[in-house]
Amino acid sequence: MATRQRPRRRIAALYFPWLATDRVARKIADYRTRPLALACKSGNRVMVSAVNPAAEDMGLMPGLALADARARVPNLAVRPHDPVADHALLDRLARWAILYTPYVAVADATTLFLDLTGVAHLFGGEEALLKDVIYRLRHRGLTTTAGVADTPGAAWAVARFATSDRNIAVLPPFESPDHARAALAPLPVAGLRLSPDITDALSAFGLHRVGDLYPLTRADLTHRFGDSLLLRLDQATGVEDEPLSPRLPVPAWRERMTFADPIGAPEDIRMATEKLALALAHRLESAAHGARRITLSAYRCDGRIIGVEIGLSRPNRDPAVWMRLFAPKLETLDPGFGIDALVLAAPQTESLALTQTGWTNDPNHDTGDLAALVDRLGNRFGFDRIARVAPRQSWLPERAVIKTNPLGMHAPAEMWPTDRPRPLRLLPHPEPVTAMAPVPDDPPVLFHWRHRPHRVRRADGPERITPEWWRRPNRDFPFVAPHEVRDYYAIEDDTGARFWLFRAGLYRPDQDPRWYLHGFFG
Amino acid sequence: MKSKKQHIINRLRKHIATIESHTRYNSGRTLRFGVPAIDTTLGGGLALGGVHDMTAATTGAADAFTALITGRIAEQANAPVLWLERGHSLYAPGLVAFGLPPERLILVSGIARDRDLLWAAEEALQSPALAAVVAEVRVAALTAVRRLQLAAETSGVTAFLLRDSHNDGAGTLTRWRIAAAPSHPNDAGEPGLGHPAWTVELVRCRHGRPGTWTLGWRDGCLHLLADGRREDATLPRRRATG
Repeated sequence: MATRQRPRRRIAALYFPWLATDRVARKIADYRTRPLALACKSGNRVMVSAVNPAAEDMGLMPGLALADARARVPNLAVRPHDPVADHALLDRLARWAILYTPYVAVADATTLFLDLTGVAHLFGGEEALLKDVIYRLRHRGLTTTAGVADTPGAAWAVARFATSDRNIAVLPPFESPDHARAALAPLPVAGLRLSPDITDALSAFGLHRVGDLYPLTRADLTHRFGDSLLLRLDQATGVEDEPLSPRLPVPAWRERMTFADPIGAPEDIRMATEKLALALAHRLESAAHGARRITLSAYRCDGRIIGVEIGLSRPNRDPAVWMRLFAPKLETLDPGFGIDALVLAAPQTESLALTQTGWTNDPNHDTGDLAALVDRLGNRFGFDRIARVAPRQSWLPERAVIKTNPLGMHAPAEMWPTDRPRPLRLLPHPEPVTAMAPVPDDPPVLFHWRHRPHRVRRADGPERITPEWWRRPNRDFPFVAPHEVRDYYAIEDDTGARFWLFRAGLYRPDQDPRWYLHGFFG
Repeated sequence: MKSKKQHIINRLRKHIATIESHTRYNSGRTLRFGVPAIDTTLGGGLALGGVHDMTAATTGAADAFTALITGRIAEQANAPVLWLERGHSLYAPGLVAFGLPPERLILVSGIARDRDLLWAAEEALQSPALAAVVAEVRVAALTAVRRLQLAAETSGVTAFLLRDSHNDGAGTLTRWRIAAAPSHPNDAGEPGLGHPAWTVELVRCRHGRPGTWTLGWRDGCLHLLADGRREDATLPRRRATG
């Protein structure tokens, strides 16, 4: 039936049946054995929204009123439910699962999909991989069941309903659609990812297992239960394709190294990073690409993922340069009790033509030297701190400058007008001063700045700068109202020091003018 | 015979200079101010490939003086100036008037700690792609300045430590103190601000004598307005700085 030949996929579903309660019990060990319910408010009632296995054994289930639950189980521990934290945990787990495969998707509130196509053999097979996953997650206090199948739908179903005592279910590859149907037949219909009302309706008709649906015609099923039932069935059997959207874009440039024993010594981490860098640079070279951003993720054995990142001002594939930039950052990497795996990825690359290197062995030719300096400074302080400046067409002094790429060499096309005085230092936040200006629209004769008087000896001005009404008001510059003009005066005091003052707004006899110091001249 | 003696003396002088590691004798590259009084005091001009200390007595004065010096170095070397800024206040439109156009300026802003500034300055001084490095360092220990000096000598890039308070300037080739001076009215006698003027004090200088001058900046050139140089007899710091 499949019209399109596509490579067979192997999808694993990780199901966390007790995600919410496990998350709470991770912090308080007592809740592992004691009945625990998570409650949230629904309308005026406080409902149980999740229970742990111990509470379930005593007959509690989500949807119960909390008062009823307390009555049934007197020693019930109750904690508030925090779905946002649950989701954040699942997101962290998805990030962590990238350790196994780059292609991880969040399926629903309690399930992750891992695309294991072509990666399982690295871990000794699908079953061994899942065993490893479940083992590690158990150490983090999470109960997990896992299923593998050709389709996400089938994996989802077997992860929930067909796992063995080791919490793993592996469906062998489907030979044909009929084979797939036979494999899914014994599973309950709830395994088809249906909404609860459809599941209830099906059980009302006595259709409990997936196999019960097969004798019925498709038209009848659609007529009674809507499109979604058949869509889910077809997705599970692989008749209908179901694309997964990965949680993170899969970086094409990625090198991974796992360790038999966790490593922690700085020189070990450095050496491992160096090996990864060599491998990555080699691959980039064969594709004529260079990296602009490189991330190193360390998977610690306590489950945390820590990372450092370097940026490059231009595409680069020299591992020695990368290592020099990584060196100070690796020192900040806290390995905790050890690192299980390192992943070096280049999420941002640009094409970089092949060049002959090693002829002169001089890494510093032409502007490469400046680029190396910008890289070193940028990785320590942030690339946004380094800039060339260029004129921008605006009369507002704080808007007249735009920051540009530090490696752009050419002179700007336009230039600031030279016939107006502009200060050498412009205060990002003008400082209020008290000025004495007896004549309206004349420069002040005296002003106090930081409690010191400055007697004005000479002055130029006013230079009136009106607001740019076509722009939204600048929230970073709350010193003048959006409609107010500024009258700027260049002022020299009796020592020769020069200041750039402005009065906010027009002169009005009925109110005190507001004066600000905005800059200093040389 | 006399010329042979002279030759030996010259050779010894050079040798001593090498021991003292003074760039003026190593590279011989200097920047002329165009003001003979200062240039002769400095023995030809401001030595390039070294560390100089610029202390501001009034806000903005040292910025302008540093900008015009670095602007000229950048023009001669056809390379940019890296300005390591403590805050975010340096304003490029004002620098143009002092001969430092934006295409010759790379700005690194918001580096508050002296440790970071000194690290960045040392990294930058190792890059021959630059003409000069300006660092708004507050306190620099003698060791740190020596490191900068060595880096500057190796690469030939000139460094300026731009400070706003009193410091001893230990380890630097020269130390300047720049204060704003009342401007003279312009030629036409118009009211308003005249051309910028500074009282420039050369506080200490290796192989040179301190002095004080009042300089004006007009039409892209420095002019000597008043020569307040102290005479040799009244130079108490000579011994300590030489």
